[in-house]
Amino acid sequence: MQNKRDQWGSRIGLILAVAGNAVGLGNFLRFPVQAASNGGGAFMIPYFIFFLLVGIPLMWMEWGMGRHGGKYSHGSGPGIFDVLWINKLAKYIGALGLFTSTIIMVYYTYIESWTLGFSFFSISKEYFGLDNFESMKTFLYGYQGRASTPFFDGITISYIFFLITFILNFWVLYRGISKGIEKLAKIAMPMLFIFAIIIAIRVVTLGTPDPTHPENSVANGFGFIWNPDFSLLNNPKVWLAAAGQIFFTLSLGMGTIHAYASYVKPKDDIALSGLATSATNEFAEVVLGGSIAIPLAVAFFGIATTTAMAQGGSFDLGFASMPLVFEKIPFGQYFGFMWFLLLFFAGITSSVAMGQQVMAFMEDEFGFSRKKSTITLGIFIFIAVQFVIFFLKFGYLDELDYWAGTFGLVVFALVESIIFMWIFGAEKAWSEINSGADIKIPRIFFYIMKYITPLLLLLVMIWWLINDAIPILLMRSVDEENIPYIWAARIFMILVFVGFLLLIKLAWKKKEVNHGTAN
Amino acid sequence: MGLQTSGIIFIIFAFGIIIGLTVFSFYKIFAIKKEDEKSRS
Repeated sequence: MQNKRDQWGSRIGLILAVAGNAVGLGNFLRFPVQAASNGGGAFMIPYFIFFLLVGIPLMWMEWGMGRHGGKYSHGSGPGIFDVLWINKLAKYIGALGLFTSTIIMVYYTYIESWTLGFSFFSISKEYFGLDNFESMKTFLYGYQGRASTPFFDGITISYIFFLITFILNFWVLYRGISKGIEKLAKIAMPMLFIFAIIIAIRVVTLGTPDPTHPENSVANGFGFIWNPDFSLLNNPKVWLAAAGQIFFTLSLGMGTIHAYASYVKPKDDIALSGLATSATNEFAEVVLGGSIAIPLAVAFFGIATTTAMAQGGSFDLGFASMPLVFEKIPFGQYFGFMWFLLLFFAGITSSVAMGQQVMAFMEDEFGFSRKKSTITLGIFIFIAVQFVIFFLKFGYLDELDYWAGTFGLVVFALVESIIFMWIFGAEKAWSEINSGADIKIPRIFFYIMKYITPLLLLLVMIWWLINDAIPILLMRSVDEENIPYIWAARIFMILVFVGFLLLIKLAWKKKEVNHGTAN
Repeated sequence: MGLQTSGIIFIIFAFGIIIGLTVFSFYKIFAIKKEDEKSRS
């Protein structure tokens, strides 16, 4: 039993949806921190090299795999890999894509809800009056339920914003590709860019907010991000940070691009659309993301304090230091509202993409209706998020984020590049990407996709395995009291992965039976 | 510290590549769309 597959209503809608999938919180929070701490302007050299050698090639590959799978009514990893590689194992390897998308969606939906909550707190001036970084962090931790604070009575408020976010996500997913996801992208993406441009203009026109501290200026903030420190280019960590950033920012290695591309018509272009998607994401990241958080923080707090804030991680920068700045500028509540709402738009356009792949799996492989797949995924995500919410302070979310949202992505990307370029065949893959193309992709990308992209992904994976994955696996820096929760996260991930393997087995068995009956 | 000349060069370099790529790809998309509409009518 196959449902008629949905299709994109317009090309712009498709590009905005895929760009929306790629543009996430990391564009505005992770990128400036990475650039500032890895050589400033010099960071852009490895960044662009990896954009050309890993980002764009993998983007085209994922579009190619997705559209190819869509021809056979498959929009998720297992079905697509099964078509690309005639081997019983292939579909099970595709479970990796479902795994990463599902796990990331579980915690990302909750993080996304914080941005909605903080946009409300900005417009209602809830945090106005808190005048230092520590009290703002306490406000954030109180909201998240990580600490008992005078600001919140438990996590009721946080939970309400989570429920709103959750309902919005699943309402969009229920509406489908053209009426839900595409419509959302057509509203959210222009709004996101308008808000980001308004805030960026406000930032560059701030000058030196406090004349008694001339060193705290926007110019110094831009200098902090962009002045190059070439000596850091000798450090392999800087190159790997650039590779990682490119990889995360384009939302590669999750199976979400495959899912969206599977709804593209077989004769439609993917080469130009893939390029436009990457360019849109980079515009949001480098031009806008690089012009807001760090320059603003330096203008108000100076370089030393901004460095300390950035070392606390992207969330401290976004949720604790930015609100302090909004308190200090005229009409700050409106800028705060726009800042957090743009992060919310960046988040929701990404989380629906994660959900779409899993729903495509249920619809394509089990013949589920849209309603049934929405309810099934909705119930699962709702239950799974409860552990993220209530175990947040014990490192449960961080554990999911590392294995699914960091390491899992590079593993899936490496596997898919090998399957597409080496098993399916480089010439066939190249002709799939170029079929119906509106631009001529230079032939050099054929060799990059075949040799360089998988090799670089392998190097990144090995580096991460040695430097991060093994110490994290051995829980070297985990507090004693958090160990049971880390294990709970691991058991949950294993159950999800094994669950997907069993579902794949069941789906293909069912298909064999149906095929046999039909014959 | 300030924004040094080398920093400005890198901003122009990075913004130039990205804005150029964005304008190129969307210009192409809209040009093709216009052509399609023309040929249909």
